[in-house]
Amino acid sequence: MIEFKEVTKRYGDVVAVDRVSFIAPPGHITGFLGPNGAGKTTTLKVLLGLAAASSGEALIDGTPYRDWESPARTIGGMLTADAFHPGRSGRESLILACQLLRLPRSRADEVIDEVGLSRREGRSRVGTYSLGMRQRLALGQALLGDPSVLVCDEPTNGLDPQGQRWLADLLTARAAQGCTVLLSSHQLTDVERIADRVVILAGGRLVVADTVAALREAHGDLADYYFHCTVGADRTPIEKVA
Amino acid sequence: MWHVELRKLVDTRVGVALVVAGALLAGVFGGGAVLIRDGQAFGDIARMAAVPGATLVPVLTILLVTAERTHHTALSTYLLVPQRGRVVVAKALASGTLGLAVVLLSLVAGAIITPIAGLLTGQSIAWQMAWPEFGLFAAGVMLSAVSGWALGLGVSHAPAAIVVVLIWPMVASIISTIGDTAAEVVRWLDLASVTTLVDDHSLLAWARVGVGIIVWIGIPAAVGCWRTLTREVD
Repeated sequence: MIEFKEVTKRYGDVVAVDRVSFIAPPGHITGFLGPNGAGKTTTLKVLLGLAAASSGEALIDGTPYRDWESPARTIGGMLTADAFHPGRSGRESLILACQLLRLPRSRADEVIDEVGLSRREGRSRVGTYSLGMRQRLALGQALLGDPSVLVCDEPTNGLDPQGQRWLADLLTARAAQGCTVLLSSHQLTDVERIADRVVILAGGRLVVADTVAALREAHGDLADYYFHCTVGADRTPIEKVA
Repeated sequence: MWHVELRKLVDTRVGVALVVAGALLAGVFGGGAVLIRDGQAFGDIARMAAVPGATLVPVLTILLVTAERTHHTALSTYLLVPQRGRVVVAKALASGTLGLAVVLLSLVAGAIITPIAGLLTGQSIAWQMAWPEFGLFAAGVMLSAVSGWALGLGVSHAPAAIVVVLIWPMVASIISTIGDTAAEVVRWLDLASVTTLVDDHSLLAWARVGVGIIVWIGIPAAVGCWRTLTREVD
């Protein structure tokens, strides 16, 4: 289970994340929504030990990420498609990760197959990959340890419609196996379709954390509710009053 | 995990190109030692063969460290190993190992070139090696490799760090010509002063080496480690 307890992240005087608390339970997909600059990625960075919280704590199965001995064998994190050396092949990048995680090299090939990259593409330099291929590679690295917790930040960026459907099926299957999935996304319809729970952040603050069913029952259409509760927190230009 | 960092040194196009260039130039320089001057021995050839590698080693170790930031691979690395200190130490060990590999490669190059050059030139090339001198030279190469790691950490910008490493010998040479005081200052700042220990075992000579290590390794490594351990990964 993923648990945020009053997490706050400040950059000087700017409060990027303000006392955010919510949980993402195992066996469910938790959609993590919010406009650009809402603090989603910062929150996920705190969760994955890449940024220190100013106060509060983020726990995975009761333990902060950085306190796990080899967290990537249990927790799959995917924050960006651009965290690979462009001069290295995709397969080589995964082999390096396998060595760090003490996994057999054959796991790299298994994962390349699992994320839909061909063996030839796996041997190509990452610098030649499209965004969609890099997303698949990043997801592949997250899946190396066959994790029971999966944290993905906008994984559908650059994926074609088939790729988006494949990803949705993969995440749904993982959750059905008991995996905790925290999915940050701007694809409201996809999240509404596959997520069981939704967390909405705006301006660094938690707006709502509830089940999709409960939100639908209370507010009708999830997309309409999202736009309603994030109004003023996005970057939509304000029309000048004549 | 140092072996993973060692692998990262040579598994990219740039890494492979630099290693191949270093190996080819080792042959050219080793062979050139025989052609330029008569009476060379195995030790002289090995030492000349090490020159290109010794020049390229800090460049490779700088790239090993700075690539994490330049190519955002730190996000991957620290997701896999959140204990950042372990990654930093592994890179230092890999850097030292690369320096040692260059020294060993130069011995191999010397062992190959010595008999071949003897046959081609008709000279009698002795299998002699001044081991104390070569040992200090090897120590200098390894210190240079580790200083690349430290500068990469401290400066965190590959082009700037590489320029500093490559132009320092020229700058040091120019400063030394200004006067005795300037030359003495350079002796205190230059990591290459480690080679003077072969003739000079005084406390002063060791102090010079210590100051050089502090300036080129200690200070940049301390700054870089602090930044790496505390900074948000982006």
